[in-house]
Amino acid sequence: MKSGENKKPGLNIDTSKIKGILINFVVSLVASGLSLLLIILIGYPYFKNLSHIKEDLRQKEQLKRVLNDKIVILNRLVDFKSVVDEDSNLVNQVLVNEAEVPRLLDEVNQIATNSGMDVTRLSYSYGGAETPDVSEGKQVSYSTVSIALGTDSSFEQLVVFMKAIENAARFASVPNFRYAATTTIEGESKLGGSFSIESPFLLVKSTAVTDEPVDLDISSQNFVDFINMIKGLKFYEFLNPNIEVVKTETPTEEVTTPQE
Amino acid sequence: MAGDINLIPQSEVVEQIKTKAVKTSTLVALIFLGVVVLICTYLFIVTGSIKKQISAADSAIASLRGRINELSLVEISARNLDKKYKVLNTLFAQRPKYSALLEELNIRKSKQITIDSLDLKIGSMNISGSAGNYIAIAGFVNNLLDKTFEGGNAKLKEVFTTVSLNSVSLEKSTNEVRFFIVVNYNDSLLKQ
Repeated sequence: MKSGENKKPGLNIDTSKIKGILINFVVSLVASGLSLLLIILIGYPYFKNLSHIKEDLRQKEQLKRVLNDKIVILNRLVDFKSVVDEDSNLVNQVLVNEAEVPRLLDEVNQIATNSGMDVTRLSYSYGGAETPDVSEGKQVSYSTVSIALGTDSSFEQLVVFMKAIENAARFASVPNFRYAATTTIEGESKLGGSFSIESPFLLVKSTAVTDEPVDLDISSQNFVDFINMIKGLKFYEFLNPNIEVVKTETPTEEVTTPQE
Repeated sequence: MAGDINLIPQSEVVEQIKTKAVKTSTLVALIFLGVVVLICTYLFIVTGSIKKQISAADSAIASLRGRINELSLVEISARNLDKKYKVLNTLFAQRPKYSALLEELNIRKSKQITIDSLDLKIGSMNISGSAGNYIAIAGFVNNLLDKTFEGGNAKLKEVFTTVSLNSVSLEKSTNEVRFFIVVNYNDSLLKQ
């Protein structure tokens, strides 16, 4: 063996072959590198972001539609401001802002006496807050005034009274009542009735929320029917502000336990 | 039989294979690059277009918000009215019409029956009274449960669901039969 042909121990790489391969494949390597670079820098980030910006655009378009609809509704309300004011006034008389107990008691007294009943007892207390399931999961709490009414009447008068309560403009309901036949001092046969009457009141203080839609459509058939129904109710004037009443601390219990 | 004889030297065959491999890989790499460039351009253009649309929507939203803010008093008034309208709608829908129930009860009661007391709650009522005989009480109970009862309110034909006769006793002094019944009724039929 010649001394010039001595090979170094370890890995022996033929670099000239690698250089040859690299030179032969330089175009494909550069093209592949560029492709990879484009994918990393542009393709993947843009692709990943595309769904987000599409969703963003969808939400903004939806918000634009909501605001456009809202503008239309508000402009219509501005055009029919007098109607809206009149409707609000009507609705506020049916569901009053404050308890207005004397007015309510006077109304109940008027209804009872107009029905031919003799009012023997009239007292009131404040009921607890009620939270009805209004619609679309939105809940609105309101307070109630509870009235205990005692009467002497005939059965027909009692029915007339119930009808009048159901037809009274200020909303009132009779969750329970009872009557029993009694004989007056004069020997006259009467029905002694006890009614528990509840009337809600609600002070609404809304705020303007720009991005939330206004659902009210004063031209919708439901709303028109509702307002017409309210207009058909009987509105009572406040005749006797000094009506004698008794305030009780807790709602009067008028119901007897059923003996089933 | 004469077969094909490949006279190309082995080194030339290797060289041809090498050349073919280089050509193929270059072509594939260039096609791939072309596709990537096309896709990236498409994504770039689409994203740019969507961003422009978002920007336009933002401007429109800002303008609409400004106009809505100018009408905030009208909006508050509308919201107040809407809230009360919805509450009242629910209240009216949930209020049973007891006047109709009392009328129905009275129609189904024969003249031989006298109701001395009635205690009404949601879904049930306790009735005590008297009758000339046992048959009148049975007739009253049957009338209450009669789903084909004629003469009453057609909507309330099935309003009374069950009647429990809790007690019946003969009062000898007056020769009357006293009774106590519990009547369950379907209050949903009494609602608007």
